[in-house]
Amino acid sequence: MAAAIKTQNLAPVKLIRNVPKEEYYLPGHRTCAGCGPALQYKLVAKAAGPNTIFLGPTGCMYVANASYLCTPYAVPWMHTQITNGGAVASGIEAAYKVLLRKGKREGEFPNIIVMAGDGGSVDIGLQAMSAMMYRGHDALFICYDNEAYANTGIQTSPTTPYGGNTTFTPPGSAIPEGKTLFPKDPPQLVIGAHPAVKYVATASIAYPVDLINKVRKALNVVGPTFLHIHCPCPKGWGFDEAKTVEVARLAIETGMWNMYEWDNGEYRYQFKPKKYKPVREYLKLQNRFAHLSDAHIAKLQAFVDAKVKAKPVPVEAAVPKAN
Amino acid sequence: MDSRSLEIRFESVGGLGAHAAAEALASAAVLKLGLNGSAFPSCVPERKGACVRSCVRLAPPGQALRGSGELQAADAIVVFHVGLLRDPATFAGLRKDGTLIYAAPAKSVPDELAALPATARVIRVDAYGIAAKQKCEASGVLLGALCAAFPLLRETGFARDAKECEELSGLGEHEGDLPPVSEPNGEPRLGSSIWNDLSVARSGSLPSFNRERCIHCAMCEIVCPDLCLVWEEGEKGGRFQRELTGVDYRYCKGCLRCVETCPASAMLKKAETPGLAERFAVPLFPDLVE
Ligand SMILES: Cc1ncc(C[n+]2csc(CCOP(=O)(O)OP(=O)(O)O)c2C)c(N)n1
Ligand code: SF4
Ligand code: SF4
Ligand code: SF4
Ligand SMILES: [Mg+2]
Repeated sequence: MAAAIKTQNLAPVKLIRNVPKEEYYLPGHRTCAGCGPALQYKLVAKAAGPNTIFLGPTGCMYVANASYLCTPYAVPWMHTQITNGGAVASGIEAAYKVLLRKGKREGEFPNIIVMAGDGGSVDIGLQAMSAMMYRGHDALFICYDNEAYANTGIQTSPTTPYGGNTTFTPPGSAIPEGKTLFPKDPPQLVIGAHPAVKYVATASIAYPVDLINKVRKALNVVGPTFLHIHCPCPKGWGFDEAKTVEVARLAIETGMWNMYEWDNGEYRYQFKPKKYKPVREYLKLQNRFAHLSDAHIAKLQAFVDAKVKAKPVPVEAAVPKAN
Repeated sequence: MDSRSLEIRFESVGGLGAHAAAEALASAAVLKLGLNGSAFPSCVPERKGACVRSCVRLAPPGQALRGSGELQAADAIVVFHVGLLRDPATFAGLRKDGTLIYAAPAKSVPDELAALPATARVIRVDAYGIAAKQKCEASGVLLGALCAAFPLLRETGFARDAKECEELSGLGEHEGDLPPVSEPNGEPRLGSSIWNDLSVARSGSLPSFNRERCIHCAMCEIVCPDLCLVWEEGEKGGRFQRELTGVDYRYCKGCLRCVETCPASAMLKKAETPGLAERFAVPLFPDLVE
């Protein structure tokens, strides 16, 4: 079998000014004003470049983008069911391999990227994602995390934080904190159970250069890779749409979101604060937490304190300069 | 009410409360007026930036309501954002004896209304002005104007003082019913979303660009989810590789994240007055054929 089809080496960028100017996610899409996932899409598309195929499981990044027969994608894109982004990616990857092997197609192996919401990644889409990771397909699975089933009107998902007010976890006299469960951990789920995976990272729209570089690193790897990208959703979380980036940054500064790479067994951390701000600072900007009492906030704070102290905490990398 | 059902369309942009207003109307018609009623949103969530349409059907008690698709024709159309009148799909299917209600301040009479049936009733109500003054929801004002315009709907309890509304005449030039909705929310432009005009997603403010102050750092670019900022190559041998020339307001949803992020105060929040965006827009795709 003619292997080594993938030779690309997408170079890292250093500064905002080195970010490629070409755009593959065009305007005119019908996402909300200030949408975090849309900004993330734009950055991922820039990072990946023209030799890319996007797969879009049902969710905001399918429905709001590809409405009424027109789409913002300037590279090939295909809708998949919310459940099967990983399966479609596996099939496309296998088909390309065969075509290249049989000489029916020439050129570089494409970047195959699944752009799935949290629901489409680690809840309803979990089995297909996990199967793609397990079988070792050469594709990048991105979980853009807006911490809810947003497209259908903000229902709780496994990544909705404790205390989140969603249409399925409304706070009331019986359950005053709204959501009572603590969230699933998508990157740990992928790392822990899928031996074929060699690169997993978390990223955030608050640090666009870091995000672009993680996308490029993941795409340079031969084999399955996973990115978990924090994407505040002004509509679902209830904050001023001008503050999307500020909310994302506060998530990192309070420890609610942690930035790291897992590179073939080795952890590297980025933007790890020397001293974490209290989670309250993050919560107070968002309506979805407006109902929480001091006791609930203390419970969430304890969870975050334990999380940031927890293992694995090896290899601390120098903190790159904030852009 | 005659034997035909009363069909009403709410045309809006996400976030203005059209779905809720439609649901409230249908519920009141059932519970208070004893009619049959149904309300269907065109697309489930209200996204700012997306056009939303809700359809309400009301029928006398003996007449079942079966349809759940979009209303191709309508007896009344309520337009929540005056910018939507630029799109003929907004008033498509209005019957010749139909009623069009739109939210706009006094004296705002868009030329597009000429496409309405000559015999249709046109009602303008300053829903946002009234809502701001009375600290209530503009969607409630519009619902109130609708219920005031139809004697049958007055008992819903939503009807407002008809004096708030201005009835306009002599605007429409079309003979007979308007042709039905051909495609949901606008002409379909197969392929790219760049033909869409997102201006209606802005809610009163836009970012205003001052080139003198700009240091072309691209911080605004890297936080804007909508690709509205227009760049050109910098001067040869000059300080900047690329220079920002302005904003294409066609795509700008007014989130003001660029204003929030700009380190040089070169992007400032400005109240959007009629014509402002058109005057200052720099086209991102100058060759775009309409
Ligand atoms: C099998 C199936 N169940 C339910 C739905 C309805 N549905 C469409 S989008 C969506 C929410 C997706 O949430 P997520 O993956 O987190 O993406 P988001 O909308 O938040 O961007 C749901 C439940 C569906 N399309 N298919
Ligand atoms: S609901 Fe949230 S994720 Fe969906 S389009 Fe709106 S801001 Fe974006
Ligand atoms: S952020 Fe401000 S200074 Fe920088 S390019 Fe944008 S407008 Fe100019
Ligand atoms: S306000 Fe600024 S950041 Fe928001 S869409 Fe318009 S140009 Fe982009
Ligand atoms: Mg989601």
